[in-house]
Amino acid sequence: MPTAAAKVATREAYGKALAALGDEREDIIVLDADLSGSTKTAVFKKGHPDRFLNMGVAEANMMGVASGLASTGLTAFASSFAMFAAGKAYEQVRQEIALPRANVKICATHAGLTVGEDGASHQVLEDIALMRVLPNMTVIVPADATETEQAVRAVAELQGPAYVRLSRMATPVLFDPATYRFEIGRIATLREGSDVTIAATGVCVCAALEAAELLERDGISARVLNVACVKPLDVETLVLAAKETAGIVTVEEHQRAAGVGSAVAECVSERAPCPVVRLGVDDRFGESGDGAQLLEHFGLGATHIAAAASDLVGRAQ
Amino acid sequence: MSAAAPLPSPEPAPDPRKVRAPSHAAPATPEPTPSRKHEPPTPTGVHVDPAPAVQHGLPASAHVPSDAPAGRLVDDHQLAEHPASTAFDPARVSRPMAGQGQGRTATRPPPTEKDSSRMTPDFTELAEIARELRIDVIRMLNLARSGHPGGSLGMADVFTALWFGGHMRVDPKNPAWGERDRFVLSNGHICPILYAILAKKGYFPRDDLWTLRKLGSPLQGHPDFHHTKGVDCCTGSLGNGLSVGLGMALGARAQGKDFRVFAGSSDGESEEGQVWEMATAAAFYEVDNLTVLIDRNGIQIDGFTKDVMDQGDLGAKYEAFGWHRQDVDGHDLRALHDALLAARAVKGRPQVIVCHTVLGKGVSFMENQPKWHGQAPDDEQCARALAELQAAP
Ligand SMILES: Cc1ncc(C[n+]2csc(CCOP(=O)(O)OP(=O)(O)O)c2C)c(N)n1
Repeated sequence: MPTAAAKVATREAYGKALAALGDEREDIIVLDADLSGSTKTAVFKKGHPDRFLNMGVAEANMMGVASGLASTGLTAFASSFAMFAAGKAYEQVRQEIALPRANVKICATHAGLTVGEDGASHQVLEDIALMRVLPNMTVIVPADATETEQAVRAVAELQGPAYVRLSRMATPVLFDPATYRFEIGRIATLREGSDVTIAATGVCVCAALEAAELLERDGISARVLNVACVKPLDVETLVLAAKETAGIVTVEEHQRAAGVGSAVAECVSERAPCPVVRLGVDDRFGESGDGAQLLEHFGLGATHIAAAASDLVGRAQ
Repeated sequence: MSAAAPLPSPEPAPDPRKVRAPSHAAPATPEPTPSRKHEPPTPTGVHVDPAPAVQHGLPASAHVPSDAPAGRLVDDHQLAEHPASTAFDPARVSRPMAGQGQGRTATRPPPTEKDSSRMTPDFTELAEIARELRIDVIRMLNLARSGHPGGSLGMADVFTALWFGGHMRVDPKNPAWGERDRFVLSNGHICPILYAILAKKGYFPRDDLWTLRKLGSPLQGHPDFHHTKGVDCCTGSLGNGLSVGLGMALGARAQGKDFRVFAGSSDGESEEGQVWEMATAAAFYEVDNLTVLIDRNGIQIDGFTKDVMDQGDLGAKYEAFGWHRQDVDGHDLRALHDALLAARAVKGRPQVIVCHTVLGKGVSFMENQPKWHGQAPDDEQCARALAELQAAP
């Protein structure tokens, strides 16, 4: 169980990492669409005002401009709320960033239910689906602040487009920067287990670890995987989990359809079929409320995860 | 039932080609009856969540028509306005020949007493209403602990003139009335002011205001007609709403209806390219039942608009797109009333009223401060704001 005292939103970690990156690299240029205080690109702007462009409330234009900047040799980071980065500007992202393989990093904050009080119009639950189907696009959903810092560096190193999904809500810092290593294309095994696998993403990783604790009390050994890199997907680790445990429970604050759960199911069904239970939002929109309350409300709390996992183990026996 | 029997329809679906001028008069808009004097919890007191006893997805105030299939939330917007049998007649929206006017057949029914835009409202009374609305906004946001006071306070006078000055033909007892004027709050983040208005109009109990943004509340963080009576359009993503408003206006024409569409927008929203696609199309189709009210407070999230993305002369831009344009002091109720009358008189062109407002108007420490775009007052700030609003002349 994570005993981390500190809670830091991944968007906070993003702003900090971006500013540090800006100190080190002259080629980093940052764009925002009138949300720099919320996305935390304002932290970068403070240190590097000459390499920050506020494009106003105009996300579609921002994506095109980011692509143009990248074509001149710069590494462009474009930020807005995930709803607008992935949703409002989807066609521009596809045509001007994914297709030309532009060196643009879309760092999208305020994703998922944990946006909270702003409600359905701002709670994008479809962005992982939209982004992972785009050729050339790398898709990353960090689970905590430590992983976010590493992921921001990793996408900055990468040549080509990336989508990084970040959260508004402050969540526990799960990983020790001294020992944790994020890698594109790798799923980290956070906890070994032999009965069942829980593959969680983003803010749901914390609840997955709690669920594993609950399951242990019931004598169930749960493996916990952190699917931070949704694309490219770590096939090896997933196939191993499929073969060595009774099945996989996936957890994400995203539509059940076409998200991480679907990606996992697609992967194992072709290579090592096993039961996959996808926890997520079931074909509906979110609503206003406190972020943590909403996760519980939509069945993404530790007890829900534990129940689904124990159910899966029961079915297998 | 014979095989050919039509499916039960909640409202007789009119054949748009047969529609004549509506013969019925607009029902009077009942003034809110202060039968119960609801006061919200005091901001300094401990706030107990109202914990509405609500089944998920079916808030208490959501309006489910009685003939809705059990267990499924059906919004009467769809039932009332998109009956499957209402054939869309593209000919009605196609651009009228130049000089042939707006191509509408219906005339507006004679205004009733409460609906009379020709009747001069009592501006002292309107000012009092605006003050009450501002007080509600402050209380709501304090209890919600998040939300957008700046624009809500800034547009209080504009929307008071519109909603209480006799310009909106609506029936709060029948929110889905097909002939009602539509209101689209395209800058949806300032919905606290809309919710305060709708409560005062009697669409839902005033007590609902104190549940804003809480889990299960009928009042969502951004307007959502699945949850809230009186809301005509789901908004929150800037740039989208005005297009929906244009569609409503074209829909009126296509079906020979004479309702008008009023839409709120803002300088920040005008940065979205879609706004200008809408502006082009509305002028091209010579839509004259669409009036856009722009909150020109010179502020957006990241600061002053002149610093973030200068908008220049917004009215002149609209004018260049072919719109009828007015610039008005957004806190002068009489001027706003006159502007709304003038807009109504325009034929063959959409109208924009650029309302020059002060963000946070009425609360001195919020006025013209970008940080009050989207931050809720804490208990101390709430008490100070209320004291100021109550003391104001
Ligand atoms: C498409 C989209 N992008 C970004 C946002 C976030 N956002 C909410 S309000 C706002 C600023 C809008 O400016 P304006 O309406 O002029 O602000 P106000 O005058 O109310 O302070 C932004 C960028 C949004 N709601 N929709």
